[in-house]
Amino acid sequence: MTTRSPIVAILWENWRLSRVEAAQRLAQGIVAASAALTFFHADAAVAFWILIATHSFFWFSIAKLNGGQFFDGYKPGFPFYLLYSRPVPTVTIVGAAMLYDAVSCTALYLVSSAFLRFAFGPPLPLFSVTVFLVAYHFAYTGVQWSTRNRVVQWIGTMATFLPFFALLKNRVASPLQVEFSLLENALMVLVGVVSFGFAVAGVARQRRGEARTAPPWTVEWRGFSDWLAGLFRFPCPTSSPARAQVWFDLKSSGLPVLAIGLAIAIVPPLLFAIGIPIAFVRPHALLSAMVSVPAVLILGGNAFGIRRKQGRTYASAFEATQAYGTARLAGLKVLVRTACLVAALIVVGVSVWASSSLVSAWGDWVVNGKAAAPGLLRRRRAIELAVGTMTAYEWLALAFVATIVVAVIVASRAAFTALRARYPRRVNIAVWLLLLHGFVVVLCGLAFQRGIASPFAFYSAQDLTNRVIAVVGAASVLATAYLFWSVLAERLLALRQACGAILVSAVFAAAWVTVVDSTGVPLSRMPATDAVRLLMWPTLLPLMVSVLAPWSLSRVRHT
Amino acid sequence: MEQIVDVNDLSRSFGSKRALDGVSFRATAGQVYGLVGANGAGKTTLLKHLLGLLRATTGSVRVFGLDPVRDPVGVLSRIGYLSEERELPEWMRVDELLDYTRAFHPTWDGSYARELLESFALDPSKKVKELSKGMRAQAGLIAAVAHRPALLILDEPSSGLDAVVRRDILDAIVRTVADDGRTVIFSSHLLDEVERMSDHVTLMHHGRVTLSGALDDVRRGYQRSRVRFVEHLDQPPVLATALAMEGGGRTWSVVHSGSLEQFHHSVLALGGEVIESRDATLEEIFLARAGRTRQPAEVA
Repeated sequence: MTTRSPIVAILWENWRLSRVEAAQRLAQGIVAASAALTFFHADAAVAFWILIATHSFFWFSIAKLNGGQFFDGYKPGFPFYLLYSRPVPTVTIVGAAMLYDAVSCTALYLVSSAFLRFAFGPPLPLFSVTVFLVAYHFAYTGVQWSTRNRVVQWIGTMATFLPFFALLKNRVASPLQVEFSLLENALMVLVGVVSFGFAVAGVARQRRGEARTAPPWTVEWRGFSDWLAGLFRFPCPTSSPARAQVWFDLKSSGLPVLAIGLAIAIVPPLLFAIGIPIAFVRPHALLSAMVSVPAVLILGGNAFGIRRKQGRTYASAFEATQAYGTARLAGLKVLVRTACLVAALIVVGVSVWASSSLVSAWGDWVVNGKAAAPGLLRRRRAIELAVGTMTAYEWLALAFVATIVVAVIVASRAAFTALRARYPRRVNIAVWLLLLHGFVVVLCGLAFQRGIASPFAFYSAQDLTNRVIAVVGAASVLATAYLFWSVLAERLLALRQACGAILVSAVFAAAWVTVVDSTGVPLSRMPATDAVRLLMWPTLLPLMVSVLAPWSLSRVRHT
Repeated sequence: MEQIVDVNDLSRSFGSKRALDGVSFRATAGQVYGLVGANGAGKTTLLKHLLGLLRATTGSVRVFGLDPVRDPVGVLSRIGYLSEERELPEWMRVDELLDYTRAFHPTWDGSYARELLESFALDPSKKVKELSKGMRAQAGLIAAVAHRPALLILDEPSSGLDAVVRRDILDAIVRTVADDGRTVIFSSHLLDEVERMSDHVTLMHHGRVTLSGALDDVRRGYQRSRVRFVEHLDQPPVLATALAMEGGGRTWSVVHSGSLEQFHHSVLALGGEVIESRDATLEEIFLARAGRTRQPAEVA
């Protein structure tokens, strides 16, 4: 064995664990950016940000191989803890893994942008952003790996993301060009080196078993801490399984979602207020307002608590062996997560709305030679006016639609995670087919634009897409019918529960029509096919998800 | 006696690996069943089928006369289960774990749970993540038995438990459950433990049940005999009822089934004699059935 062997082995392990996701991310980035350039005539900057987001800011799984996301039951800290027992220095273990993460993501970006340059011709930056990408990944993994404390991880991630994002945003020039000064490059290298040092020190502590050691409590503070903890501790109800399960889901994932929602809600008012004296912060304040709602929605994933370990995705045997029906379990999990998510969204929404009133205090804020604040305030007033003219019935319909939409998002993401755990190969094939379809459509569009193919090819691609949508629609109807039959045959759902799902879907459809009507869309004057399209999916999705969720949980619970 | 578990011709494959191959297994009330087998023999897979964690693809599984996949509530409410991985939510405190489990079982016996907590000297205010492996096993065991389940399923229960807890507490729990007319099914690598605690033993090998029956019957059905031949033998002698042989030259140690008389005859026919015979231990039977006979240079 040569001295390089352990490093090669670690790199190989990284590759084995991340290759499928890496390939999918590469395809996603290329297809999304190509579609933006071809069909939406977006400029190169949009494609650039799509690639940066795909290969940099959302690259979570490699950094957390124990679980791709926050609620995947991942073990926080260094993911390759199985290497601790190997005769390899910590610096090697950490260095190889960090290097793989940074280099692979940077390579994926470079390959994607080189392809887009070749295919579409926009001058996407290549090597000028490599230092940025590598440094950002070092900083991100440094934060994630150096501690096992989730709160520190989240705060650290934000503290890393915001300055890097701000720096990149300020260095993107029009026409698209990204240049960093020598000093900035040097600073980024320094950040990377410091992050590496932090990660090595943190992982060394974890390897020695010191990371879990709680600081000793002093006698005089013990009582206070117990009292404080007791304020937020509520005992597990033992009167019924449903209550105990609600308690379990609230404690394990619901309340953390709410807490993170509250933390996110603090950011916009803070930035809007700081933006009054400091104009530099204002774009970031607006950005925080825009991303806070999607950021909260991201927390709605994996409501079933599917766990991930290196190379293994599975349901918790502890929960699977509790004497509780699968459909009820799925329903409770989705309900608890939806309730917490809706509460978090309301808090964030109120926070954003209240913060936006501070724009009036920004005074003369000029962006690209135009005063930006009046435009923002006009939009705010327009929303205020639109909301003010809504009737109570429309309000009720909107609230119902919004809640069910959140529930559908939570349930469908939970079902997808469960299906991916149970049938990984089939789900991967479906994802690849989808990406392949996107790629073919983009290529047809590109060929038409370049004059290589006749308009027939372009319209064929459009026709193909329409046909695929029609096939997916028909398949969804059939799948819903099959799932209904299956859950009833397997006695997963009782007949009255199935009827309840149909009733909720019908009420949702009615509420949807009301909301569409209130926005001024002339539903009654539309062609029948458009009206059916507008109504079919909103009616079908809640119905399908209401049976897909228990069915998928059942497949994971009883494999 | 009431039939608690009825597994018929159960087969299960994971990819190309056959984990269970036509397994049939029955358990009645008030008995302790020990499942033994090498790693990968199919013990945990069989137990997971009883819990409904795995769906029977071929064959059938009935627990309390119910299908554990179609009726998880009916089955699991009467089962106590301790998993091999001791998978418990790390964020829970021990008392929360017990309260949570209690909510699913109306038959929960609080005083029994407290008694066991004291026996194990477990701190109920400790979080699961702060517990050692053995303490987790103890917490899991309390959660599994405190509702006095009609069927207790223990997957490698001794793993992580120290010798004192294993002998004094685990044995007592298992015996108490059986004496109350309830059923215990446990898997173990420790054959002395199976011999000590079980009424019935089932030996699994490569996904098949190779031996099953009451422990006493099983032990009576197998002997270990020392035989001596006049001539030096380079190859093990071919004896009709022999399952495994150790030794070499003139002296061989043979684990065999069937009657002693039949065995004597077959040895005599080869020009040998039986020096001594005794009932085989479970370990000897296990090794013989699993085909893992050692071949030392000389038999003591």
